[in-house]
Amino acid sequence: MTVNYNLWAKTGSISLPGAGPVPFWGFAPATEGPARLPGPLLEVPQGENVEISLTNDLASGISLVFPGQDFVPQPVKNPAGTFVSYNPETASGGTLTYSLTVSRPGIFLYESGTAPEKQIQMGLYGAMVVRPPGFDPGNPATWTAYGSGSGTDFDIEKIMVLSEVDTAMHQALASGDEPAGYKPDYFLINGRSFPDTLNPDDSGPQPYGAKVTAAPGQRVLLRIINAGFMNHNIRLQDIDARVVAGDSRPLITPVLDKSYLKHTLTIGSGQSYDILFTAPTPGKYVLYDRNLNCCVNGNNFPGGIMTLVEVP
Amino acid sequence: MAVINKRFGATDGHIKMPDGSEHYIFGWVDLTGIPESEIFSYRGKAQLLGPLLEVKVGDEVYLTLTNLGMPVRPDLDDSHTVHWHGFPNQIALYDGVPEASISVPVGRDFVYYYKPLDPGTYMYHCHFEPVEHIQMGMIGPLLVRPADYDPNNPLYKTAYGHGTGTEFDREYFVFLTELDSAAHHQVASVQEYDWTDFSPDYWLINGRSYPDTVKSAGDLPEQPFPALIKANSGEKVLLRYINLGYQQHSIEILGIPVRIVGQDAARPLGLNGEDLAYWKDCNYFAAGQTLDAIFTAPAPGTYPVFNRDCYKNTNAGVTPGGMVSEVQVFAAGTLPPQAGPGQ
Amino acid sequence: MTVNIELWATDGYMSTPDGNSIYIWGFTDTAGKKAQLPGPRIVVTQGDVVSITVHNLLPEATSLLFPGQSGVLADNGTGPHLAEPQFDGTGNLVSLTDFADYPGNPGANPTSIRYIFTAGNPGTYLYESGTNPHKQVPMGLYGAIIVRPADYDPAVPSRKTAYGENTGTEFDREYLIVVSEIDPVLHSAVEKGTDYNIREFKPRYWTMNGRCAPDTMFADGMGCLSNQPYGAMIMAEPGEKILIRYAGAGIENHPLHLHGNHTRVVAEDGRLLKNGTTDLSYKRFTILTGSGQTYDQIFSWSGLGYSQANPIPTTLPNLRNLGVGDAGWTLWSGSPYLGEKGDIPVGVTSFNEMGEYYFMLHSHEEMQITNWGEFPGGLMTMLAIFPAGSLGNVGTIE
Repeated sequence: MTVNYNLWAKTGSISLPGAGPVPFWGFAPATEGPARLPGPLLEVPQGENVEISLTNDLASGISLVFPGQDFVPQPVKNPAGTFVSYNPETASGGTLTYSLTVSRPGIFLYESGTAPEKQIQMGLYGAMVVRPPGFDPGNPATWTAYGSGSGTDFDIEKIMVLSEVDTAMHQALASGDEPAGYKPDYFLINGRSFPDTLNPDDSGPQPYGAKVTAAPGQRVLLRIINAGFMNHNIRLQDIDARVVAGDSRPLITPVLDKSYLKHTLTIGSGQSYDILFTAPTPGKYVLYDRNLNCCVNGNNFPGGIMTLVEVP
Repeated sequence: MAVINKRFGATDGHIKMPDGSEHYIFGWVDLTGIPESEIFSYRGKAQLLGPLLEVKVGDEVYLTLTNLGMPVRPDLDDSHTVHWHGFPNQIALYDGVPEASISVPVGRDFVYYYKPLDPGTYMYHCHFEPVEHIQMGMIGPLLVRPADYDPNNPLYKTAYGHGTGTEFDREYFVFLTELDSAAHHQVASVQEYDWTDFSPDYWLINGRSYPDTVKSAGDLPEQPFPALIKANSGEKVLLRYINLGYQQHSIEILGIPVRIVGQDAARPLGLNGEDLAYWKDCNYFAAGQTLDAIFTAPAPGTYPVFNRDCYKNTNAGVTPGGMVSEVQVFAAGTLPPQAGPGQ
Repeated sequence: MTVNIELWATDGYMSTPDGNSIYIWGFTDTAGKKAQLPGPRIVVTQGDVVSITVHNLLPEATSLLFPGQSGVLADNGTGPHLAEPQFDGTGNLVSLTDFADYPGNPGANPTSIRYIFTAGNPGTYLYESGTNPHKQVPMGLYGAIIVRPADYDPAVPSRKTAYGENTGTEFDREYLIVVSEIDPVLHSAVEKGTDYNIREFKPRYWTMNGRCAPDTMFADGMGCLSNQPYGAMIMAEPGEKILIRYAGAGIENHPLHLHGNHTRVVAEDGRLLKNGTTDLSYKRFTILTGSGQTYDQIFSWSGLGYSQANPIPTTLPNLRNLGVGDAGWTLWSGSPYLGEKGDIPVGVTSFNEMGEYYFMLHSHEEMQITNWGEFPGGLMTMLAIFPAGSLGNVGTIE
């Protein structure tokens, strides 16, 4: 079976609390409509062949790579033998199809493999969730992250893509200037800084909310993946959470249970963790970055990587 | 078990970055077997990284540190030491912390003795004013073979011993550091540097930044450790990750997951023998830590290795550069057996 | 039982070894005293109901979070209720938890607040401000909580444990090391009431138990460090099991490297690394102590068997050919052998008492073992191995 996606890479503008419109480059799911930060969530069953047709409306060449996936990159080099791109480039104005077979379930990034220090920072990344065999979106009884026996049955799932924005770098690159080093001033979950993380999903350039709502006793699976360039220490306050997978490798197998409890979890760039908890007594519980200079917007608390788990 | 006699000189020197810039370093030079009358011709010839110290469990290792002084900074009469980072149950004398034992003044020798107990990946470095001497380059890779290691028997060519599931066909170091060129310039110019201003502009694998990482050993004689990883499809490759920088790094190989079979020169084993080895796409680890990772070389091709903190893939702000390298996989049978680590 | 604790959130000064005096906010458990760094250690037993009242003397609201505890209640005069994030009238989040207002705020909210929780799990925990935490935590509003297992009994070796009998966490001595950073510009700005941009956060000092090396090696309660009461030197005898508790109270992750031997991490964030009989503990020579996290480890050093009867296989050069005490002092005994002393050059002060060995414990991000760039300093201390039978009652936490 083949699952087909079409993505358009475009310029756009995101809104961050306390900042004017910030230019970004992102992926859009349609030829009309804005680019998204992060890119559209791609949801595919394990074992499928995924074909992504990428149309590049940006001024420079871009590419797609699939870290953590079973694929053979085809790097492009210049005559001197130096990397130009980690996978074939889609030239400005062109279209190219990237394909891979998703061989294991989990949460993954797709992102640019061309000048990633600029293009990923500008927003050319998104998440892909690969469903295990037997997963039926219409039947909650089948909802697991990694299949039966992996201890990852859930009632509520929330994907959280972490990243940072250096607004000065965005302004420079959007104007064709060279940026002066990396110094992020905004810290994002799903493309949004707190308190925007609390808003519901919408159809704008930052369509993915990050608030979790669960009834007491419901099993909540947080799938956190770091698309930024620095580590983030994610804390779930007052809730005992169990780490059940790292880099999409389930920690619970029939022979060994390597899952562990952790209230503050360091997630390095490019890494993912799945954490599972049971929604406790009604109340509001905060999830935030214990790197306390990342739960601000610019210089103002609260902000950044922060959201709420609401148990009504 | 063998008696191993090594002699490392401590001196200064210069390295090059791919943009042509030259940087003053302190570092090590291998004096093993050099006649006494010739050792001073090695002054000013420090290399980055220092020579590989490769030994076996049970060996008796006599490592002589000879302080050759700093030709570029004759005013700087610093002593030096060797700290074998991670040596279990060490005694203070051989631990190399000058405040807690001794150091080696200019013109003197001192013999460190080690009888390695545990296999794995370690590092060595000078511990004299370490914030300066480590950043300036007094660092090197260190590996301990298991007692039953036999490179000619696939069952005994292992990281942690027969039966530990750590067989490999080839092995490479991924030794991470950073270079703060302003600090090196200040030290070269006999100026003070406030180390809390540490702000690197080059990020190095095995003492080189991309694209020098993929050049051959002879292309950069002062930086003799290439970071190019080569294997035939189907071979098992052992990567010995070492972080001796001052930052945390997240290293990814596009298209190749790795299995972590050792950390800090210890197998991941629970107290009842639980096998806690695990797979990783992106290895995030910190200064002073080591990882042993094994993968089976996939289909032939070129697999990029890079720091997922992508701003570290630059040389003084220019891309591409920094902590980038390649895994090159060839058709089965293409490459002859590996002659030694990293080769 | 119920444990009642009163804390005052107030200001004070910390000293650094280079002569700096830095304005801090912090906690004290004595009315009228200045803030200490870190806050008072709280030691309770699993199952205790812990009631902590905070009296706020600061110029802004403050609060306490208890990461690793659950079901924390708050009572600011209206009766105990679930402690929750607080929002203002327009829905803006103003604190990560219920807070105590500051004296003189026209809103006239209570300036004291009581938190109540049941210490459900043994282990090492932090308490820290949840109000303007990007400023208040670095300013010093943090401290550590140790929860003893319910069956803890220091007189019975099998019950002198971190996590309970039969959990493999027996210890002979224990040490707690809380690490953090100091950006003096932040502290100065708060003292003067001027602006500070957290985006420019740039530590110049790094602390263990609120002290910078070499002050870390002084004993608890040194008079010259009146607001930094906790030492951070680890002392042990060969073969003893030493419980070392790390807690990351700062903003950064710190790779703490202990010379001498590996440690075995038995718990993270106050949760034993076991699932039933499956043991998940692990050996390391460097522990990346993440911000807001805790790591409990067991350490033991037994040496390599050297003595005069089994001498080292190398010959020590004479003192003319050795560097000893380059800075005028040393911890070296002059002898390779534990419990023996040898010659030290004239003019060098040796702080070695009885031939004990010293091993460094430090951040391997080496700029952090300086005080504003000057080595030695910062996030560093020593582990001292004393001859068997020579250490008295050190390495206890009451």
